Amino acid sequence: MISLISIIEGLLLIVPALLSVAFVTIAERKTMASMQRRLGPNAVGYYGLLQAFADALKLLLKEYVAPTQANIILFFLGPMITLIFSLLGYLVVPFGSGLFVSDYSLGMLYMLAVSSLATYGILLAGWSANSKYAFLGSLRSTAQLISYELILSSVIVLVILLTGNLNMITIIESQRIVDFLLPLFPLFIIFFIGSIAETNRAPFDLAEAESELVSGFMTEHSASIFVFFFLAEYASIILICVLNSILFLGGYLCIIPVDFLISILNTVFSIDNSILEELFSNVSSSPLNLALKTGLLIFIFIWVRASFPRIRFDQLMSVCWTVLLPLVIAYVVLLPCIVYGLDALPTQILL
Amino acid sequence: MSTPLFWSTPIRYLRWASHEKPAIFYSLLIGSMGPVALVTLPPLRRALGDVDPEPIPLSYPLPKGPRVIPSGYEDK
Repeated sequence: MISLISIIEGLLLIVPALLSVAFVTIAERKTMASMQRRLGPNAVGYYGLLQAFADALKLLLKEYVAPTQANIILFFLGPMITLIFSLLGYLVVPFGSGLFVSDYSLGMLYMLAVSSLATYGILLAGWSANSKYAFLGSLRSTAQLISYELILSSVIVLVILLTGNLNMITIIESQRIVDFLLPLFPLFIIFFIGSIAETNRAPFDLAEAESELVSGFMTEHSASIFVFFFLAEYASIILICVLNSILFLGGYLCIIPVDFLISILNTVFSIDNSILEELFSNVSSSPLNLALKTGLLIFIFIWVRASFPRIRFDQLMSVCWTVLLPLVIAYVVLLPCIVYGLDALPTQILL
Repeated sequence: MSTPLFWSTPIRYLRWASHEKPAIFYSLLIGSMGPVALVTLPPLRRALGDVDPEPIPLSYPLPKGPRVIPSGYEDK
């Protein structure tokens, strides 16, 4: 019975995640189309909403072709590893108050570990294809992911310094007074740039630069195996936007401090506005808040892709090691000093 | 114009560094504010009315009275 419930829980998580991946692809194509003054997909379904399903069906029905000298096992294992590890990150995400699959005490560490392991899939897939484009793409991607992970994990450590806990819910609940966006705004910008690079998105999509490497590490992958890479890419985009929302925008907490506003209303007009309070008590920690914040960040991801040209690989690396890393190290020195100076170290450090 | 040297023309060097190497320059600036904050923030905090918390007890409090050493059996 327990196993049946866990299967249902898993399905309740994975099916909406995959559906959101499908709709994010359409959202991306429509948004980019409107930014470039064209219509975008508009033939399949109302307003082109079913385009992603048509694409998936096409890819699944295609014949797969593997290069003759490829290491077949690793060739198929690579995309699977990438997809599985991209989806595993969703396990510890609190979508709403009490709405999670696992309330893991080391949730943030788990998410970092799982996102790092997805690199192996890219490395294996690129190497096993026995193609120089795929191999170069995978080397680029691995170097990029490992470099930018340093930035992300350093910023996460600084957020943990303020919360004193690696649990996602504790991190969200620590932001009830003020979102970490306000005190840590520069770190949010750095984390967001790192997120774009970590998900291999434009302008940092050097791993799949079609002008140089055809299609990067997935050059030789086609049909259903390509779907795995595609899903993994968009699943990791959504996941990292969720992570951004949790770390800096208060996760499932309401954007507008409704409780505070209602208490002000009550004080000013000296009335007991219990109906309003009851109405907004559901809104204050609803999953819709997280969806709204994540949607906004995904829109910025798409906006960035439509706005900036691709940079060179050496520029990508030098931005990481000579611009972002010194800035993060500066904050690693500054922030603990401020927290210690203000005597605001978190009292419970449950690591 | 040649690159200024820090030891001979420090102000000009800092101006040059802020234009030519902004990431390193501002990183050093932000990082060096850390120790400054460490020195300036506690008195500022106390001046604004914050009271230092009591030190965490590192042992059990010792009784003030004379120590009574029990002798014999208590149930007798």
